[in-house]
Amino acid sequence: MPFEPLRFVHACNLGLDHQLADTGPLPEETHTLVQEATFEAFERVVTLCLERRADFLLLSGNSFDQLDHSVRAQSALSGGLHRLADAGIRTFVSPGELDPPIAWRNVSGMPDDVVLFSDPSDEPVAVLRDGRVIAKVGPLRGDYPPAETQHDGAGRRHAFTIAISPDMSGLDTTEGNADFGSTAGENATLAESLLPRHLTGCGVDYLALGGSASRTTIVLKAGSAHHPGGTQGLSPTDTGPRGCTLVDVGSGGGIETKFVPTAPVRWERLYLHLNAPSTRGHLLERMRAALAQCRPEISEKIWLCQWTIQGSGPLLESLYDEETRDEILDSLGSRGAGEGRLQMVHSICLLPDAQAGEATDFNDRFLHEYFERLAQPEVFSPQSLDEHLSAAALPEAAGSHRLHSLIAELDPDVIAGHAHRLGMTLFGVKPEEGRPHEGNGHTY
Amino acid sequence: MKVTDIRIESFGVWRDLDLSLSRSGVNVFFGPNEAGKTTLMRFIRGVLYGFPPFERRRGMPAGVRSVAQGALTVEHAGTRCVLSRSADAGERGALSISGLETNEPAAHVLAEMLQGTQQTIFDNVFAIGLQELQELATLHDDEVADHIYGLTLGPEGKRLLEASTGIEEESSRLLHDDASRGVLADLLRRDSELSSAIQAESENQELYLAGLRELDKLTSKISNLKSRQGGMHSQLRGHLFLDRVWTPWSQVRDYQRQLDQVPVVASFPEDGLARLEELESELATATRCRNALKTEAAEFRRQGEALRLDPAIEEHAASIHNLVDQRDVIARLGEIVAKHRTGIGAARGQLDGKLGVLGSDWSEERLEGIDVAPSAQFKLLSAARSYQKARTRRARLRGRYERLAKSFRQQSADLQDRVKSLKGSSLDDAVTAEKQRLADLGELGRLGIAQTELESRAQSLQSSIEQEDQRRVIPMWVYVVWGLFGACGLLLVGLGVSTGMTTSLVGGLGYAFLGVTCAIMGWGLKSHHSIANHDHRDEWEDELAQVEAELRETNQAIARIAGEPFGPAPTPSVFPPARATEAKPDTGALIAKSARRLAELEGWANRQQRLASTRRRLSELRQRFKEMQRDVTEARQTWCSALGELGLPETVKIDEAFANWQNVSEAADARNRWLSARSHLEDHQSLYDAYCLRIAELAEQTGGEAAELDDPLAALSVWERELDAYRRTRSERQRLRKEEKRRKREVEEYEKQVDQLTAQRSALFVQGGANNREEFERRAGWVSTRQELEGYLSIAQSEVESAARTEPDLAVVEEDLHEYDAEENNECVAALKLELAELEQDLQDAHEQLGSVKQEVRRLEESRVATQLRFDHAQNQCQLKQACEQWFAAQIGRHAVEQIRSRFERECQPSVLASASRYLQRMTRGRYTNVWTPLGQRRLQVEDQQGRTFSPEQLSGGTREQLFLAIRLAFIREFSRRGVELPVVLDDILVNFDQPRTEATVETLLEFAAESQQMLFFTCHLHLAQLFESKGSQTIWLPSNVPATPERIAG
Repeated sequence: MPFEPLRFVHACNLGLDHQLADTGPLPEETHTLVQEATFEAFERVVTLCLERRADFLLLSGNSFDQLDHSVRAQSALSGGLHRLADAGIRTFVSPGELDPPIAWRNVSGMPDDVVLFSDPSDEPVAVLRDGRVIAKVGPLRGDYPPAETQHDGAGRRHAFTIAISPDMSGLDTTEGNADFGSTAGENATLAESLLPRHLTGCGVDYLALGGSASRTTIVLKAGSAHHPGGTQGLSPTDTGPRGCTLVDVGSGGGIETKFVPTAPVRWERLYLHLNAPSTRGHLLERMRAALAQCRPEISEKIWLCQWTIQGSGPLLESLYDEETRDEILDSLGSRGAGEGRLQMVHSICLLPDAQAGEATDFNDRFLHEYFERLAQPEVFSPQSLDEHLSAAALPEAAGSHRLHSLIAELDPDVIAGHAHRLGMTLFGVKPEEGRPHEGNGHTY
Repeated sequence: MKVTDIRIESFGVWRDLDLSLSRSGVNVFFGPNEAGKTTLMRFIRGVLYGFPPFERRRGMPAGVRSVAQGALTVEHAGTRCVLSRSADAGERGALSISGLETNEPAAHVLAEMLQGTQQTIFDNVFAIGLQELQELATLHDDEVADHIYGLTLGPEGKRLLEASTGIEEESSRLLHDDASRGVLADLLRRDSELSSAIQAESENQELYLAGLRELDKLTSKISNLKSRQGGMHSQLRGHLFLDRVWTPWSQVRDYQRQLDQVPVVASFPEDGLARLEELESELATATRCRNALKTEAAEFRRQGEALRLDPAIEEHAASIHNLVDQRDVIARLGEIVAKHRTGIGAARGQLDGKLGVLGSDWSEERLEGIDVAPSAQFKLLSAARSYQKARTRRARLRGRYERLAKSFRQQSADLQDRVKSLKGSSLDDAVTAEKQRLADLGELGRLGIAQTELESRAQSLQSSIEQEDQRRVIPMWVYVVWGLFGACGLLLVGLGVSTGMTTSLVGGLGYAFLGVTCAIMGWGLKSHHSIANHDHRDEWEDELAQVEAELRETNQAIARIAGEPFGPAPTPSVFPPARATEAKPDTGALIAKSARRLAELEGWANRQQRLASTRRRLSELRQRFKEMQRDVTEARQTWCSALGELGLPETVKIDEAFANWQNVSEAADARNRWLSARSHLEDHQSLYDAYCLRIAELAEQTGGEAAELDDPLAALSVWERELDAYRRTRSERQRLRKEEKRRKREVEEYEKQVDQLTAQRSALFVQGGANNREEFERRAGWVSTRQELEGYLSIAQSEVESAARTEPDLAVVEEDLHEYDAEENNECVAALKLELAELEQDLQDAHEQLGSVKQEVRRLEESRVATQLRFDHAQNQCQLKQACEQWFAAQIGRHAVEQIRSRFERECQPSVLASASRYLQRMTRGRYTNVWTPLGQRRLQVEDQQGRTFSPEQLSGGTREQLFLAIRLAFIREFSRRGVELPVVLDDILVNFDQPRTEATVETLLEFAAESQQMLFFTCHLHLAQLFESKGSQTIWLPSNVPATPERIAG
């Protein structure tokens, strides 16, 4: 039997006490839950380790954000890891971009058996069970021997080897985001293209990835590289269910990864297209259908649904009215999940249809010229926005620097949508009479 | 309106001035300074709009009443008139118009001529001097400004202006220009506040870390204090331990010393004195009881000896008792004997009755030989069942055979009757013949159809041939034509031959050719007709012959099948169409009839086959019946032999045999019952007699009353009474003996007890090492004292051990106990307690500090302020981003609107400014290209050829005057387009222009005036006048000073 069967939990991007960004206005009753979302997700990770009797826990980066200077994050982290240590579960930590080693060293009261890999040159640490080495955990290094040499003289494999790589920022894993249905071998080409060549064939049995990538599994020659995604989505781009990964290693070295949801707050981005004959009932039906396609996880309590509705026609125009939007969103209701009813918070971004705009003929010369000027390239580029801000000549005391720093976070489509709507309003032309701008939109 | 003449009677420096003006072009007036050029311009203004009321007439002596009077001769709308105005000083003057035939007031007529042009317009636009030209304010009159500053830009300009305003408002709403107000400003302030608060809150992390460090420090301090406290506690415990241990330890020493002084009594019995007392008490009690029991035993012996028994009864008591016990048996036995004697008679009667029923040949002995056991009955029953079954099967088979034979006979007779109708032929031959007939009939039907078709085909061919024969007859005219063709041909041949021979060979050949052609054509037509007709007819005739042959064969076949004689084939000509129909039999009916007959015959054949099968079946049944008969015979023999074996008379009647068997069985039962009753009587009678004999013998032996009685049962009653008395007496005597014996045994037991107690007392003395009671008591005292001391010693030792157990880590050291000083120890204890109290206080203080720090750390850990602040910051940042997006959208929109507006302002200005731009461009020789005003603003802008924009204030004085002149010219053109035609009066306005621009301006003015615009140009500069003259304009030279009559120098 080459390996001792073992089980461990792999999590990353805990982001303890880091607050969710770009949520939009939230109901008062959800504030506490949203504020505590990262803590609750971490609590679920700890509970999972205890309930499933994991051998150890891997934290592959960004467990907290040192810039938050959060005492609660440190306290919760220390408390959770102490509970694991009391149950005999070790924790292997790899600092990430947001929680560098210096920040970890400032975290006091950590259990003694928490292993922090602060340097790539750190030696691997053996995980023992009944005096036998069942796994070796260490930082990702470039000197791993090839997979073919991972046998001793008797042809037996060495202990299960785990390497943690906290920084995969250069790894474009968007294609591998479909881990839930992917099987081994499907991502072989992906592995070749994404991972450094010396890693795809190295003797690492499990490469624990970290960084800002989403949930991904890449098949290596000798094992798998896995990124569990964050335990709690922190921004609107972190859509879908979020959680950690329960990894079971069989005696034959087979790796079975199971997604375990932990996030109490879930982001969803939903897209709908409306055409002129669309009715309100039709819209509601499609919105419900789109929501029904998203399966709620047991851990989820709040869904932050960001709708992008593109199209044209009276229905889309009516959505600019706040009361209409509220009525439609109220009609969506809530769904059952977790311990109770799932609370849903919706926001709508309206995008006039580019094709409908091209097909619309209008005679207003000002509006025509206005849209022609908006359609010029680079109008909504960050450089252009920066020039506009510089032209405004705002004093530093008024937050000029702050606005400059925000430019990179702004959505050009939303700005274009506002500019489009403004043009419609200024020149007194109904939206269906004018030519909408491609990609513009309004967010509510 | 054009001024043709100026007549000044009195105005300013002018008196009796008459000037004739050109109706078009530029009228240049040259004169030195103070020649009255400006006065002349004011005169024209005055005539048209009234003289200035308070104007001091220049040139008039002070105190002299000034009078303004003069006239302008004008042409307007094709009419000529004179506008005269006369005014005293301080008056605007009265207007009069001559030359017009109208009754309207002069003012109205003049206003109509001026097209409503106000005086300000005329003063600022039409009649201007250098001063008016240099002042921008002169263009700010409402009407003028309306045209210049876009107040009449139209709905598009207004929309653009509103859009511009709207986007400015939106931008200001988000972020005011001063950056201190607006949504974005508020959010930025909030962002800054939250950032500061978060920054301040982040310092809590340092506090937290410091708190944790303080916690570690305090924990360490407490640990040290506790360590010290532990040591002092140990020390104190040692002192207290000594204090606690010393007292029991000293007691142990005392008790041990006392114990050493008491003699040791080895193996003294435990509780020796008590046991001695107890033994002596028990010894006295046992002696007393023994004596009492001896007395009681003697009394019981005496009472037993007093009781006496009957010796005869005593001797035979067992036998008597046995008989008395069997008295009921003996009585019941007597009754049974009597009953059996009655029953045996009845059984014998029944046996005799049954033998009578069986007959006289049946005796008791024969009956005894009959076996009526169940096996015999079963054997008889089996034989009867076999015999009966064989008979039943034979009867059933016989019935079946008879029914089948009867049916066979009936069907056979019926079939024979039917077959007789075949007239001797067999049924199979009839079926074969009928099948052949049915096939022939089918063939006959097919041939009939073929016959009909062939007949109809022959008729059709016959009719075709006949029609063709009729059509083949060619009309006579055809033959005539053919003849003509042939004759013509021959004639032409002949003519050709003759012509060839006589006149011309070629002509002859031609005629010959024509003739041959005609002959060939005629012959060809005839041949074609004949060949075509003959082809069709031959084909039809061949086909008709073939059809007739087939028809003949068909008729022969029909005749053969129908049995008709075959005759010669009818010729087509005599073949009647209806013959075939008449000759045809009704084939369908025949086929049906034949089919029915065939079915009937086949049915008979089937019945015949079934009869043959039935015959075979009957034969088989007969064979089986014979076998069955043999079975019946064998069964009957078996039955008879079974009857014989059982002793019954032979008979084939089973019921009779079973009735005999029943009677024999009943007789055998009656005999068995009689024999059984007789046997029982004999048995009981012998037993009863034996009892009576025994009683009699015993009565004789015992004598007494029983011997005198004959009834054994009465003797038994006497014996029973005597036996009861005997038993009672003997029982009493036995009881007394038992009591005596028991008392004696008890006496013996008490004797043993007394001996035993005495021995125990002696043993106790021996055990206590004493010889008597006194010595035993003295030794017991020693033992008790030692035990008491040992108890005390044990208690003291246990106290020591208990004290030692309370401090297991402390050892009891003898030297310390020997050297123990209570006072000194107490002092040490007090000192240690004091020190411990101080240490406790320190520890308490440290704990309090620790608690405080822990509370602070916990407060920091549980504080949600930072979380709330970051959440608020995230929320605010989200709003900030949204507001920022809106603001950027507004900025981009504003930029776009500004671009649109800029383009609009430059390209879509009022016609006045457009014209002004053209004039300015010409006057500045292209240096400045565009004049425009921002939307909604009273602000002129000038754009040069490089696209740079200047305000009038930024221009040089000359350029500014050129700008204003250009605007006025544009206005005048605009008024002209509206029908307002007034003369333009320019008073030395070119003095500040440089030479090139002066020339350009002069050219512009000339071109301007050339478009039917009358212009009066006053100048004091000769070069200007010469310049105009060089361009073809007429110059009027005004005299210097004020001549009474101006001298006309030129023009």
